[in-house]
This record gives sequence, structure tokens and C-alpha cells, in this order.
Amino acid sequence: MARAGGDNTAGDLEVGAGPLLGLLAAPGAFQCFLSIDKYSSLLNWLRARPSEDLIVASIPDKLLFIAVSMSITGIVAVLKWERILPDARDYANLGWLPVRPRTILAANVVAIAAAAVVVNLAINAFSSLLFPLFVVAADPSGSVGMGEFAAAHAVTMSLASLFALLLVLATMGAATGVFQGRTADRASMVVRVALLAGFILLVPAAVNLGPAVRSIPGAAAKLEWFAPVWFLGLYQQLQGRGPAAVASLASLVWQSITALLALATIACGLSYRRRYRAVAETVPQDGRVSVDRLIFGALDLITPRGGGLDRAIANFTIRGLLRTDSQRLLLFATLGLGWLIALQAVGTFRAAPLIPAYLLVAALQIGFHLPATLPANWIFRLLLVRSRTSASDAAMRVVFTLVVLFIFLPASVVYLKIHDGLGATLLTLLCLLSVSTLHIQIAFRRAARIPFTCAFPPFRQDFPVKCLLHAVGFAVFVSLGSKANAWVLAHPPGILFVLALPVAMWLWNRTRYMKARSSEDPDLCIQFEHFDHGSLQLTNLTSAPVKKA
Amino acid sequence: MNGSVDAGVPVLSAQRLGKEYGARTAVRDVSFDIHAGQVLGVLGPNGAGKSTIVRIITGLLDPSRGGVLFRGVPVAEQFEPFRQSLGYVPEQADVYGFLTGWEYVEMICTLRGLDRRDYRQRALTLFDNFQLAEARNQPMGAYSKGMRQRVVLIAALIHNPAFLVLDEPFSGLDVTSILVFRRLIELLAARGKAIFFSSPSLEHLEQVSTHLLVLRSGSVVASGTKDEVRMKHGGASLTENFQQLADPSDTEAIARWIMEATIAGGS
Repeated sequence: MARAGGDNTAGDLEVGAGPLLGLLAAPGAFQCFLSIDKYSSLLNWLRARPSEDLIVASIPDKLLFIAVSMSITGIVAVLKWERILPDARDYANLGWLPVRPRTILAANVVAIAAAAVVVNLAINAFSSLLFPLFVVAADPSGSVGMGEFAAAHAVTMSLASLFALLLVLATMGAATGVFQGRTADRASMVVRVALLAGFILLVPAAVNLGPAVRSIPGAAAKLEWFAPVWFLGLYQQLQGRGPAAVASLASLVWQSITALLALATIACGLSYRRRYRAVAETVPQDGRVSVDRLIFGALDLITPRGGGLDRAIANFTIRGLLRTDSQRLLLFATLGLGWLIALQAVGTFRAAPLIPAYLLVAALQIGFHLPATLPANWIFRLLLVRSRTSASDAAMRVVFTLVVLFIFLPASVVYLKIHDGLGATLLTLLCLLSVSTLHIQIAFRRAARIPFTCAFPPFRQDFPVKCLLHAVGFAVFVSLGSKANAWVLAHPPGILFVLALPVAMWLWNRTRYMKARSSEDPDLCIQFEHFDHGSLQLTNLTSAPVKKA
Repeated sequence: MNGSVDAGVPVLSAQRLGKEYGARTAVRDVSFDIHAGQVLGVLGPNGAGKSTIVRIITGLLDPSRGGVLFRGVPVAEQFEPFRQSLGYVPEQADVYGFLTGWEYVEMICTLRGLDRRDYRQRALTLFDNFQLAEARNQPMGAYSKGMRQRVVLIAALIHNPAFLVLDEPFSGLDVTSILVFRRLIELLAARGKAIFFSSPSLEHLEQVSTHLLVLRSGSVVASGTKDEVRMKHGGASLTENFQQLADPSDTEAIARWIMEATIAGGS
């Protein structure tokens, strides 16, 4: 699940085992340290907070831990689902050996189970130790036993993770087992996006619902549909405390896990069998199906008209960015999630489109860094020889086009419907577009890196740090963008200043590039020393996005 | 160069194989035998059905009709013995890039149930002879195409198989490796191995094969020893036979059209 070595042929979204485990452990650890403020007996005494039953008072935190645990396991399982099923490479390498398909399936399931245990340990190791420690230390009566608390926490979190894993296996298995061929691929993609969105939304939902479960009588019964509440019931039942309505939901944990286990076994078996046969029967296709043609046809409409290098670059870049299912999933799931959050906030938060805009630009940044050794990068290399434009300029133009198409065009429709007046709407959209363009200029400022040519994705080495930086960047970008928008609405001439910012940034980038170019900076000359002719991917610019050479 | 040919039960026998992909027929009524010591060279233009036949006889694909016998018994009835006797070099070495060459061969040996003490020394010798000793602990993602092909060759040979399927095995190899491997095929055949050898290169096939199977549009258009094929179809060379049997395109005319189009486009 987490490959430590590079696989140039894959060009996939892999990170090393160390960074991945660190990243998985981080939310639980952060969550524990954030709870110090709530459970510190000294702080509570200084604030003169009344003492209360901490087993009950900690219900919102427990629900959040459960949601985070389920969410992370679910997301990892969704992203790694393809590893369970055999692909053409597995088939070519293992299909002729004296190993039966059911043995390979069993080995995959064991590997997935082992990986799930490791993921579960990484997610819950800190919280199983620190959270009970903080709560027990804050209990003046000493009625809460540390060992019992830690055991209840570990058992509940493990079962919540198991539930999420089985849910993914059962749902994905059913989606790919029931349908066949291309329909199965499409169904798989839709289900994956839905599951990802669901798992991500679990966390904010738990944050909002936790206090209600604790304090509103009858809330737990009304939230019977919300799976984390079942596990909260188990948690409370194991501790022998808390609202009876919550603890009564514990039985749903066992029922659901048993049902999902049975369903996952059948669905994965069926899906594996189908896929094994399908891989064998697969005939090389000349082109993608009509949906792909539709997507790329629509995107072609927005690329520069009239042919020439600019159009070639735009065509190549868009197909390069969407060349694999993983990349499509990354982009469209990010976009969907961003819009989901933005639509909830757009009524009260004018700068809401900045949320999907930031996420889309970040996802595109990752897309450009994924190694592809695409031979058509000669298109970008031409820029170094013939044009005064840098590779990053060309990439920026495509990103800007996608941001306008997927964020600001739909946003303008929403704004015209819900906001007051055409003037205010135009000012808001101009301001947000300008802030977004500034973000694109900053994100793609490095002139030396030509898209798709990394031998090794740079985010593999410092993945957790990059995630943290993006979290901070997101907060700063959305907050400053919102403030800029409010200022512009209060002082309309200020829009000129806001519009000047990305222009200034572009000029600065360009000056830097021209200076580097005139000094023949070696960074501008891409070295293809790791270029592997055996793993070329040809990008057909007329119809299909990818063909294997 | 004919090796010792066993005239008894063929090592592998394909009987009236047929395969359809939906409405398209890829292979139609193809039969052949390969005895111990024979190298069956399979010839045909792209789309003639070579790869489909390879996939059927290696057990990767079920035929729509007909069957494959290993030492006279259907392969479906002897999953384990057949696959233990099979060595396969695919057209493209699509290996796991995150494994080192050594790990890959170890994985194949383990899945074959070989004892580590048995295969270790043999593997070291093969890595050494294939000039991969220094690179054996590097991830295969960093290997060239030729290096990957050589690792796959090691994995195909390490268990001393009785039947070898070589699907364009020289793809990506350098000239020296090709010459070594070509001679190796002759030596293996001389030691009684049955070899199915598919290649787009007429020269390789002419040098290495004892028997030929010529395919066109999924059907056999000629088969027999090289001399039989040559005499039966009257061509002076294998190239002429191939043009006559498998791909009757007028290559001279096509070449001239391309040249004229090129010159006209450039002027």
C-alpha cells in the first residue's frame, strides 16, 4: 500500500511508508493536544468551570475521534482499492505461474488486512494513549480508570476503522462486481467519489453533531442513521456510563460489521472473478469511449483557437493532467469537495468560491508534479528554444482556464441568483478571480520545472509538511481573499489595486525568467537523464488521452 | 541446426484452437504440435493472432473452441504440472518497478515453490551471465527495457522448464544479448526443451526455428519444417514466402507511394 521505492512506470500518487504513517497519525495527535485546553484541571480551576462527569463531557471528542478514525481508514481504502484487484501487470507476471487466482485473492486480502492493522495503529496509537491520559488526569474523583478508558478507546476506534474498511470493500466490490467492462469502471469512479466525499464530510458532521448528542435528550435516537453514533454507543457501553439512548445503539455496531463482512466477502470475490476474466479478455482499444471524447471535446473548446504552439500546449497539458484514473479522481474529487463546502457557505460567506479555487489549484499542482516521462514534453521543451514564454507561463494559462471554467463561471450564476445587484456581483467576481490568479502565479512561479518531467514526485519526500503548508495556505488565502473582497465592496475603486496584484506578480515572475534565460541558467534546460523509453506514454492529441507505447 | 527431435507424444499440442473477442475472430482453427527439441517459429503480420495463441497456450486466456494438451493430457486437467513445466517471456516485460531484479526473481521462485537453497546459486549465476549482477539490487523502475527483459528471461529459465514460450523475446535487447540468447535457444532445444518462439524478425526465425507456423488473419496458412514451407510454396527465401503467404501487400508499391507523398509534401 505504501511503496518506498520509485516505480517510474506507474506515475501514480504514491508516497513513502514513513510519510504516510506520519500523516495518518497526525490528526489523532493534534486532536489530543487540542483537547488539553478542555480537560486541563488547572485551566478549568482558573476559569472556575464547574466539575462534571468527564465520561459524558467527553462525548463530542469521542465522536470526533471515531469520525476521524473512520474517515482516514475509509479514504485510504478508497484510494488503494485498485490494489486488491488484479490488473494487466499482475496478470502478465502471475497468470502463468502455478498459483491459482483464489490464492492471489487470499494473499491480497491478507495484505490489505495487514495494511489495515498498520493504518489503524498509526491513526489511533497517539489517541489511545494520550486522550484517556488527559481525561483521567482531569478527573478529580479518580473514578475513571486509565486502563479501562484506553482499552475502550482502542477497541472502539479499531472497530470504527474496520467498519469503514468493510464498507469500502463491500460498496466498491458491489459496484465493480455487478457491472461489467467500461460500465464497471464508470460505476467504480462514481462510487469512489461519493465515498470520498462522504468520508471527508464525516468529520465536520461529527464536530457539529457531537455537542447535540451530549446535551439534547433524544438526539441520539434521531441520529441513528449516523454510523459514528453507533460506535459512540459502544464506547459509552464499554465504559458503563453515559446516556442510555446512546449506549443502546451499540448493538448496531456488531450487526453492521457482521453484515458488511458477509457482503464484502461476496462482493470482492465476485468482483475479483470478473476482473480476472476481464483482464484476460481485454483487447487493446483504439480510443476511449464517448464520455472521454465529450470531456476532452468540451475542454478543447476553451483552449486557444487557431492552432499553433499555444493550442498544442493546452491540448497536451489537459490530457497530461487527466491521463490516469487516479489523476481524474484527484481533480474531480477535489473539485466536488470544494464546491460541496462552498455551496454550504455561499449564502453567508461571499468569498466561498475561493474554497474550491484553492483546492483545484493545489490538486493541479500535484498533477503537474506526477512523473509521466511523457514524450510529448517536446512541446514544452520547444518553449525553451523558440519562445519568450516560460513553461510555467504555459502551465499557468491552462490552470487559469480550468479555474475560470470550473469555478468562476458556475460561481457567476450562483452569485447572480443570490447576491444583491449586478455591480456587487461583478466586483466580487473580479476581486475573487484576481486573488485566485495571484494564487496561481505564486503556486506556479518556478520557471525551471517543466510539467510532468519529475523523476520522483517532490511531495513524496515531505508529504506531511506539504499538507500542513497547504492547510495554512488555504486558511490564509481564504481569509485574506474574503477580507479583500469586503474591502473592495466598501471601497469600489480599490478593485484596481486588487487587479494590479497578479499583474505585478506576473511581471516579477517574467523578469526573473528572462534574467535566468539570458544568464543561461542550467535549471532552464531539463535533463532527461532518467528518461526511460520502455515506459513511454503516448498522448494522442486528437481523441484518446493516453496510449501505451 | 535441428536438435534431437522426439517423435513420440508432443510436449504441447494445440488442437483446433479458436478465439473470438465479441464479434471479432482473432484465431480460427489453429492446430500445431511441438515435440521435445523442436523450436516452433510463429510468423505473421500484426493482428494475425500470434499474441492470442501465446496467451492461450500459457493458460492466460481460455480458447473459445479447441484445446491445448500437455504431454497428451488437457492442460485444464493438470494445472500444477503444466505450469511448473512452463517458462514464459512476454512481449513486454511489464514488471513491478518497485521490486529489485533480485526480489522479482525471488518472488517468482517462491511462488513456484522452489527451495531457496536450490535457486539462489543458479540465480546468482544467471544474473552474472546476463550482466545484471551489479544492478540486481536496484528497483526495476530504474532499469532499461533490455535489463527488464533480461530479468524476465532469468525468471522464465530459473526452474529449468520443459516448455518455453518466447513472445518476441529479443525486444529491447542489445545486439550482443540477442546473439547470446539466440544461441541459448539452440542449446536449450538441443537439450530437449520444446520452444514456442514468436518474433516479427524473419532473420531470427530463420536462424532459430526448426519448424514454422505462418499465420494470416488468425488462420494457419503454412506449417512444417523450414524446408517444407520453402519447398511447398516455392519462394527462394523465407522473406519471399512470408510476403506470399502472410502479408501479400505490394511492399515495393507501398514504399514508392510513401516516398512520393513525402517528396510531394516537402516541395
